[in-house]
Parts: sequence; C-alpha cells; structure tokens
Amino acid sequence: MTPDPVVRLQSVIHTLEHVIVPAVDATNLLAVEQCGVTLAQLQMLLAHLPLIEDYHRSCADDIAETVLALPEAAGGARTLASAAGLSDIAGADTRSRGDRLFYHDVGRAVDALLRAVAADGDAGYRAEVEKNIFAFSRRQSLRSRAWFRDSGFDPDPASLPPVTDLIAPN
Amino acid sequence: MLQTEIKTPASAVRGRPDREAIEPRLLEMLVDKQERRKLGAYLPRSADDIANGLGALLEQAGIAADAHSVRRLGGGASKEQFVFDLDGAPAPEFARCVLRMDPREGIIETCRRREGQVLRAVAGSVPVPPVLCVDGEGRAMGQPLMVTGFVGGVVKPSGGSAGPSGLGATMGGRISEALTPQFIDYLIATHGVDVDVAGLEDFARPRPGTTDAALWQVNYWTKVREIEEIDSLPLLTLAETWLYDHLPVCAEPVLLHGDYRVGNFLFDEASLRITAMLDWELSHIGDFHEDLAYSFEPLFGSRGADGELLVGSMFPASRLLDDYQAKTGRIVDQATLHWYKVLTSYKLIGMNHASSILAARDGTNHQSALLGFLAACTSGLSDHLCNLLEGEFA
Repeated sequence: MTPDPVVRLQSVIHTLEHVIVPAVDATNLLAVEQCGVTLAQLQMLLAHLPLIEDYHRSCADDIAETVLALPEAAGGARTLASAAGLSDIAGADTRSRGDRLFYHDVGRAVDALLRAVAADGDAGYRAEVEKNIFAFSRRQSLRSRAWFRDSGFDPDPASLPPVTDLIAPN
Repeated sequence: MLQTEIKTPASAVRGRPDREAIEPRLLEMLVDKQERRKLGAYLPRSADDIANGLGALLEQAGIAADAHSVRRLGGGASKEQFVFDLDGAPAPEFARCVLRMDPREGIIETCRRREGQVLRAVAGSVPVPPVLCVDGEGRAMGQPLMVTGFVGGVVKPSGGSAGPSGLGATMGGRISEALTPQFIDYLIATHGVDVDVAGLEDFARPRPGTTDAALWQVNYWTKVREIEEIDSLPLLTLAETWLYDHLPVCAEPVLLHGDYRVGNFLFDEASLRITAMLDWELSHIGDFHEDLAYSFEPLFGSRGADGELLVGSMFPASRLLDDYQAKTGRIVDQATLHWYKVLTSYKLIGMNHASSILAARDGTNHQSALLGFLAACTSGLSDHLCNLLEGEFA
C-alpha cells in the first residue's frame, strides 16, 4: 500500500508543525490550544498505527477468554438470560465486525451480566463473576495505560512496560 | 424560597430508594441535551458573533450599557468563554465581564441558572465572580449563558506549565504555603452556607439521615452513562453495582462545590491571595465527604517524597482531613470517604469515557480535539478505580 499510512500521517504532522501551526494567530487562544492537542493526538496515532490491530485483538482475546472461563450460571431468570446472551456473543465466529467492535459487544454483555447478578444472581456465582471481571479490568487498565502513556495523564508513567510487552503480535 | 417549595425527587418524598431518583433540574438538562443533539454539529462562536449578540442580551437583562472589545478567553474544557468591556456598567466590578456559554454538548451537562444561583449564594463567604446576568434558556444567543464580572488572577504561577483545565499545575513551596489555608477555609465556608435561605431554587435537598445524597449521585452519573456511553468499560459497571450496594447515609447535607481543585481558582501573584473560586457548575447539595474525596483524586495532585498524596500538588492529604475536622467539628468517616472516592472515579471516568467521546465524535463541542484527547485520561483514572476497589471482589 503506497504511500504507507505511516508516511501519510508523518507528512501531515510535519506540515502542521512547521507550516500551519506557526501561521495561527497567537491571539486566537482557542485555535492555539486546539493546535497543541491536535498535534499531540496525531503523534500518538502515529505511534499506535502499526500496533492497532494487535492491540485490539489482544483486548478482545482477553475479554473473550475471561468470559468463557466463567463458571456455569446460577441464579434467577435475569442472571441466566444474561449469562446465556454473553456466552453467545463471546463464543467463536462472532468477530465479523472486527476485534474492536467485538470487544465492545462483549463488554456490553458483561455489563448486563454484572447488573443481573447484582439483582438475582446466586451469591457464589456473583462473587466469581465479579472477581474475574475485576481481574480482567486490572489487565485491561494496564494495557490501556501503556497504550496512552504519551498522553501525559498517567499517574506513574515510569512504571509502565512498553505496550508491545502487553499485546500479542499476530 | 422555603424548603417546602423546593422540588424534590419523588423517591425522597416516598422515602424509598429509587434508581430513577435524580434532581429534577439535572434530569431536565439531560432530556434537553438529547433534543439538542438532533441539531448536529456545533461551530465555535467567534468574538464577532458574541459582540453582535451582547446588545440583545443586555437589553433582555434590562442593563443600559455598551459592550465592546470582545475577545476569547483560553483554558477550560467545558464552556465557551469570552471577555468584554462594558461602558456604563451598573457597578464598577462589571466594567470588564466574562461570558460563559454552553456549547451544544460537552464533557459535562450543567445549568447556568444553577451556577448563577450558587455564585450569588456563596458571595460574601467565598471570593467568587459577581453575577451580572443569566440567560438560562439561551434566548439572546441561542445557547444558555452567564455573564459575571471579570476577576484578575492566575491559575498557576506565571511561566509555569499546566495541562488542559489546569491539570498538572504546580505552585511551588512559597505559593503553596500561602494558598493552602485559604483553599481549605473556602471549602469549609462553602459547606457552611445556609442552603435553606440561599436562593438555590433549582437545587433539590437530600433528606438528612438518609442515603438520598449518595443515591442521587450514583443515579445521575449512571443515567449519563446509559445515555452517552459509546464504548463499554465493565470496570464502571462493577463500580456501579458496588456503589449501589454500599450507599452511605448523609447526616447533614451541605452545599458542595463539586469540582474543588487546583485549576479552578485564581490567585494574585503579588499578594498570594485567592481572588476567586471558579467553576461552580457541578455544585449541588450533598455529603461533605464528597468534596473531600474529590480533592483526593490523584489526577488533581501528585505524590510527595514519602508517597503521600499532595492535594493539588500543594499540601498533604492528611492536612486537609486534620484541618477540616478541627475547624468544622465534623468527623470524617473513613468508609464514607472511601465510598465518595469511588464515586469520584466513577463520575470522572463517566465524563471522559462517555460524554467527552460522544461530543468529540459528533463535533458538538467547540473544542472537539481537546475532548478527544482528554478521553485518554480514562486509563489512569481506571487504574485508580481498580486500586480503590482492590479486595472488594476477591
């Protein structure tokens, strides 16, 4: 694919940085502020671009494995229905919309199960679901922090491993 | 206004916890926002747009004065802000004014009428900008707005750096030493405002000795997620069910600032006096633990050499607890404080993960690029929420 998306993005960043941003009226504070975050966002995208597929697949694999490892559902009708719906979504051959959308489809089904077990799940089953989803959330949080380390918002960026250590290459 | 005349969520009247119980004015705002969303993308207003609308606004407010020299103010992540001069101002403090106008959507949905009411309620107790007029319905310029007198000061030392919305600002030892007691005292003064005589017509009062204060907050932020969440984040739903399971009772509801942190006050660099506490748009009546917990959010501070959280990178968290309890006689309940820390994480993530991304995606804000960028702070906030909930699901 020529030109490579990385090259296209690099060229846009270069032009913004050296031609367009210097030409912005310094008294237009909204424009000046938006230029700063626009460049920062594009720089992050440039770093993410070669890794996006691996990142999304790793997130999707993790949430699917977490869900499929849950014990057999126990509780009232709402819990049983939510657990069945979640299994259907997280099962094989359901990634036709891509890893990113699959991840969020499963995530929304997890949301429904968490609310269901809080309403009518057996105590033991609820505890298992919450423990496993919390453990997943820990892993996802670390992946996400490493992914967005360059945003400057992380409370402890020095402690983060490179995101490539946390995602599996295809 | 008498307390009995103030609108109250139905569940509080019935005395039954109800997950639909939300302050009526806030629910109205969310409903209105769904309608506004149908209008599509939003274009930032120019200084000329504002200049052209000021005549109608002043006439509508019954103010015989001429506005000129309109220019945009920088900073802030939620409102369009402009400064202008006013010839023939009704009082000297309005010779220069600030106009805060809602974009179509933003990181938070708040009410200019409530903001105007709370600024008038705390004036005299806390330094705040004086209110000139409020157009809560957007009759003059198409969007709700508020005009206040301009107050001088800085949010960070000159030459210092800070991120969006004043995040990451560092004051340094001398400035921190001077500002810290003021910062704490003005929080205490806010909590001391008599909400029954303060003219807070659009604020509902949680009943003392009930879980109303906590319940209304979880309900509101859960409703925001329900309406605006594009992507999933199961951690938030874990937090949601935990919050509902552990609702604390609030003995004595007080007026809260709702966003009390560095970046939301101005100070004079020469005298080192706080000249104005700003951004009261999240103000509501609730549990004093909520403002304390918000101050303890790590995103708004840093760690000292001993690892203790420095509130606003200015002073140790323990000082706020000690001074607050000593000066108010209130006892901080650690379990309640913990609950409100979880709530703080829950709502901050909700703002950035749901509302911010939605507005950025749809171009309904004047600074879409900023909102899209700010959403990245969700990952650090999520890590802190995990820390707060560690052990709860073992």
